[in-house]
Amino acid sequence: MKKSLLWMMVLVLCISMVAAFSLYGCKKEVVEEVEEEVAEVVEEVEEEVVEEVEEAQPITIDYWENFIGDSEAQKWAIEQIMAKYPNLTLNSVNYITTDMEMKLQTALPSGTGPDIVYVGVQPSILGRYANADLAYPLTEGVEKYGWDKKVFQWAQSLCTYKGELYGLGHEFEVLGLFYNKKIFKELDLKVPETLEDLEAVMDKIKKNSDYDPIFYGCGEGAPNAIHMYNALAYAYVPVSKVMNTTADGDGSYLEPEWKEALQVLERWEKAGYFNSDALDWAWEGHWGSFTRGECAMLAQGSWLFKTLSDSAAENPDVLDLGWTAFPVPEGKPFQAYTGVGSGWWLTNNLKDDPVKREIAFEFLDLLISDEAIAKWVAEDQIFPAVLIPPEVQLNELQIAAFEVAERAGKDGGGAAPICWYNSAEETDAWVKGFQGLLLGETDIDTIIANVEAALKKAQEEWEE
Amino acid sequence: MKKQIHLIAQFHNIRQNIDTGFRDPVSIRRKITRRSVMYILTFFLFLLPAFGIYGTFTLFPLVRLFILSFQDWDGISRYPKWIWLENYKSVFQSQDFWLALRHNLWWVLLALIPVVLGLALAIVLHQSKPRGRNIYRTIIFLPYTLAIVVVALMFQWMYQSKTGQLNTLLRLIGLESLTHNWLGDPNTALTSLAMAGAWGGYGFCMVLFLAGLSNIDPLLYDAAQVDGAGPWQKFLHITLPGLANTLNIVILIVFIYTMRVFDFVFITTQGGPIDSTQVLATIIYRETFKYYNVGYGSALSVITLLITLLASLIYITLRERGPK
Repeated sequence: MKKSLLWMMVLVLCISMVAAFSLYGCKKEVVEEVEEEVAEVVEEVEEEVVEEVEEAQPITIDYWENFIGDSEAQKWAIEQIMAKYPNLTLNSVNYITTDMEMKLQTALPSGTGPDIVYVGVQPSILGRYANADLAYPLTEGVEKYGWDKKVFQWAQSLCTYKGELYGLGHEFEVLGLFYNKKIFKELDLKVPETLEDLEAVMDKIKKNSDYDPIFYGCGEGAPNAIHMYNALAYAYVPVSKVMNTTADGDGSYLEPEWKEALQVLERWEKAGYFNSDALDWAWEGHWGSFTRGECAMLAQGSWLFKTLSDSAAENPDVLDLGWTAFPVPEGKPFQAYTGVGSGWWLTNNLKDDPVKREIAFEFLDLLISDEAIAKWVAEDQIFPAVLIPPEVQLNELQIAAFEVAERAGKDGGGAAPICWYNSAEETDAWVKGFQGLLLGETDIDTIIANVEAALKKAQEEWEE
Repeated sequence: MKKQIHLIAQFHNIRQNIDTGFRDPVSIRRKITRRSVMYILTFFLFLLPAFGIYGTFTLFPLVRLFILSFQDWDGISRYPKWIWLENYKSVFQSQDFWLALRHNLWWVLLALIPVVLGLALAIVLHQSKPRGRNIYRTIIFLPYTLAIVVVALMFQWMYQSKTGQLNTLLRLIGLESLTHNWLGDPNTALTSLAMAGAWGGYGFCMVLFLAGLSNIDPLLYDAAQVDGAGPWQKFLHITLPGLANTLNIVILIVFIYTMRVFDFVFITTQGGPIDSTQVLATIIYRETFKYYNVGYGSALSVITLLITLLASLIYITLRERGPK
């Protein structure tokens, strides 16, 4: 027994030695050739398997999205992909953003949850999942569908982590100033071109009418206060600094321009330019007093074009909608917010499933195809962050938005995404600050100190 | 089943024999070992499904929560870091925690209003026995059946400073000076929310008290009447002692519910303005799911659990020791 064992060991040792020496003796070229052949064979087999699977087995792709559940373009893309693959079920689930973020956090690390996601592409969401290897890079899709040539370059760089594209940025957003043409006509006001003009217009409205000059919503989540401050910040803080004051940058809120913008906000509050019920307003319906014709202006962006246009169409007696750039102080270069709100990205659940992955890439390509773009623009009034084909007709507001975005880069200013691209903790610090400022319970230095602390914490975490 | 009964009976016989010392101890021990193992096995087999469900859905998450509270984890990365008591230290050093705890305790105090109101309504309905008593009972209980989301949204609209019904009513009756931004003012936001919570709660308390009142012997009231006791004396010496157990249960339920209140705040103010309505559950949610501090959020949850348990135990002990 012992003897036979010994013989077997000697035999195994000999075989291993022969194998090792022969491999060592192989020329590099020969090894490469063999590797290439093997790779080709594997690829062929994979393709065959894919074809077989595509023909036979039912495939289910889970897709979680926020905001665009009712969009015609998305419905069209889902119909197209399901028509092409009869064995495919694409489960599309619409979530409230906070709800989805919470569910993603528990689902993805446990290997469950969606295959495709439509949610924030900022460092605090997509960046976090990319770093934890829970998001799947889009490199294969870029190579196959040429997205790098189609999607705006800046939108690509916003969704790039660890040197790879992880998200397809959508909802090209431009922050500006809605105004009610009826009120402007009634009070004989001109559309403001500089920040000084805007202050003069607000002053006139305050003195000569019962209208609130500009809407301010500072309740739960303070959606409008954040936009209002963003608008002011883009007017004062150079774009290079804005872009760097994020979790993955090394900027700081201690730069004087941030304080300058806050001082303007405080001055406007004290002058009574804002509605008195600012603390009552959360996200839902915060534009209500503007659409009812109680407020003359509203600092918001292209994401509300459809909602406000519909309101204006329903209430032509009180609202005649106008939209323009949010002005900057005289003599300063023009800057604007032209970021992407959300975007599509794939989860790592697709890592080991080439068939589903292939279909997922195809679905993403459908969502930004020319046919879909036409629907996004015409029916959903959302801009994909891609080159719009010339045959797609833009409406008056959309043209204005594109002009603002174009103008932002021309005179030395630029375009920047802000705030939403920072951590939730920092956003909360801002909200608390705006509310405190409105109630007279905090001062600008405290706000700056709090947001700076939140920013530094996020930057440290990002470093880790 | 028969076999089981037989086994159990035999086991009891053996136990009896051991106690009385009739048989040879060695043979008895052998028999006990065989049969009692069978008995215990059967016992545990019957328990297994219930224990499995309880263990999976209650014990395991609790144990996991305790483990997480000793770790630094963002909920996403693969390797949580053990930091032992650091999370607990951070919680106790955090101003937010103490602020939220104070808010919870204030809410607990205000939650006694529906208890008192429920008790008063129950006594009125029980003693006056009006026609259509069940209809009154249903109407009073109705708010409790509404989903909290609905109640919260309803009160959010009612509290609106410009268009809300509360301020409109105050203006209509000439009390414009009392109009207020109820949820927008940090001084009134928490109390306004607690009042909205109370609106849904008094019907529930009333139903429990009505059940308790029906258990009090009516002869006691008759006897008291004969002895010349007034309504207040009857309430103090018959009703209240008779409702002691119900009152205990109601107060405990209200306390536990209030310590974990979340939905009302989350739907209406999300803890604002400037943290004036932040409660323990909202900061647990915020830290765990918004800020990705899962370890810290777990430590907060454990502390909240312990506070609720401890306070409940103290209350029960005090009630047990107090006057019967």
